Amino acid sequence: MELSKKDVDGTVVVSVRGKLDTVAASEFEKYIVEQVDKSENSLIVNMSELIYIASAGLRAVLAATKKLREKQKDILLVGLQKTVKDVFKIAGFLSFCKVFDTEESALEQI
Amino acid sequence: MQRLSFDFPADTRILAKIGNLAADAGRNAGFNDVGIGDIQLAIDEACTNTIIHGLKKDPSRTFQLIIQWKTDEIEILIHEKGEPFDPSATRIPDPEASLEDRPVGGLGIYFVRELMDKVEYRTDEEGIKTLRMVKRVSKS
Repeated sequence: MELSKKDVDGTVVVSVRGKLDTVAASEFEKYIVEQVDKSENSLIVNMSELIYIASAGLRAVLAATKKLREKQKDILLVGLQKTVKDVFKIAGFLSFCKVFDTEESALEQI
Repeated sequence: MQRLSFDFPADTRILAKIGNLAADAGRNAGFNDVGIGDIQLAIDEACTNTIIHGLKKDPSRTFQLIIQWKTDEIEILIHEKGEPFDPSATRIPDPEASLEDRPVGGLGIYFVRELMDKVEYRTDEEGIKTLRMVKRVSKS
């Protein structure tokens, strides 16, 4: 797994690439929760180059989402590949995760 | 029937290797990429629970993983003598639950049950627990 971040007009965009397995998930959770704690804005997570996610990865998304909702903010997920989207779907996460095809369309929602 | 058997330490760093072994076996059994992805995720979640909950991440303790397959079918067995586990006592996550009602975690077993066709837990008289899971190539 590789992580990077950028700031687009005050919104943090995290990119996660590769495999978000059980081992990688704790690093990912720490990373995105840190971004949430530092920012007053919603968080965009670009998953377009993510090819695998285990339940521990979903747990990280859930933990970050709960923190964001305390500030009336959201997590916006971008570019989910079919296999990754299917895992979100099985877990029922698509009912509360906002999913966008591109970073641009996610940024327009903020 | 092809069969692979391993004794692995209770160390999450072994999970990547297990995922690759499962993918190779699934491919040899004739699963497509979606089926192989399901098998990889199920074995990852099952072994994660074994390592973290069953064996408390103690690398001096081991579990046995058996992967066997034939055309259109894969069977995975995990044998472990760790902490007692009663699958009937686990809370089944509600995929319809709202964000507020969702506990963080607890999805692993749910995924295993959703992704595989047959999932069985048993504990023998010596306390050795076995998780057996089977998946067949979908013909639909």
